[in-house]
Amino acid sequence: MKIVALICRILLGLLFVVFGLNGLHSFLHMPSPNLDSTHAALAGQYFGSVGASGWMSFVYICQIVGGLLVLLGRTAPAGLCILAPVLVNILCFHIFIMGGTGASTGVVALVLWLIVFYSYRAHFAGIVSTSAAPAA
Amino acid sequence: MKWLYLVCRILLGALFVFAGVMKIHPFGPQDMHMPAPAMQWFGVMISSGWIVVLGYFEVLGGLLLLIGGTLPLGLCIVCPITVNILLFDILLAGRQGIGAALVLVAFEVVLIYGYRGSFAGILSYKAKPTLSSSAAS
Repeated sequence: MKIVALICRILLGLLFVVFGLNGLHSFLHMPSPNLDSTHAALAGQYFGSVGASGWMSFVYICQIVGGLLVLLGRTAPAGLCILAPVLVNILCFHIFIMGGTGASTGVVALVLWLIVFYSYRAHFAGIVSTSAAPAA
Repeated sequence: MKWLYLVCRILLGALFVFAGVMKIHPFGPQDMHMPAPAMQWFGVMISSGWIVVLGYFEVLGGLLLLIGGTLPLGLCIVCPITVNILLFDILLAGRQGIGAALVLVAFEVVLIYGYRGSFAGILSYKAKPTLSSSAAS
């Protein structure tokens, strides 16, 4: 279990660092997806507004920072907190904009995230508490 | 200070629940005057259905804030949404609505400070995986 958690943590961190860097400066050769006309139009609109504005650069930087914090290990809980909202939106992007195309990488990242989260679960006790109160 | 936290918590929670319900079931006047990139963003979010997921997360985060005991998890949901509201206002909407977003940020900063003890676990830089239930410390 210790080894599984370690491997998942390194894979999760590398996945986000590599794809974050690729987003900022494309070096991976990714095949262009085959989309039907509805989803091709949605993808065009999406990249026309979000892509053209520089919003994605912020997301890629979050991926790199979150991935590095996870790779570092000592800061994995903070890294998981940064990667979680990014991951939710990656899944939403592939489901709603791409119509399911390319969602498999997102699902793999989700499984890795859940395993790493489980291995660091003790550190999340404070935020999943149901009886939190302000510090005196 | 407890009153300040209570007021921030109720206002922030209510704002997110309201904004979330508006995204799931739009009601009232829908007259939006926004720059073209912002309108295009709303267009693609609404026609793809993505906006409903955002709406549910806003309602969930807002309710967790209103409940009170679950505030830290609620903040973990509404803070990333707030970051993206800011990015939307700065990058797409020409900063015309940034005042409201900065109010959200102010409430969140107050609440994160007030509940700082709850965030010690995730902000640790000496985190260790829990290896087994017996080895947990």
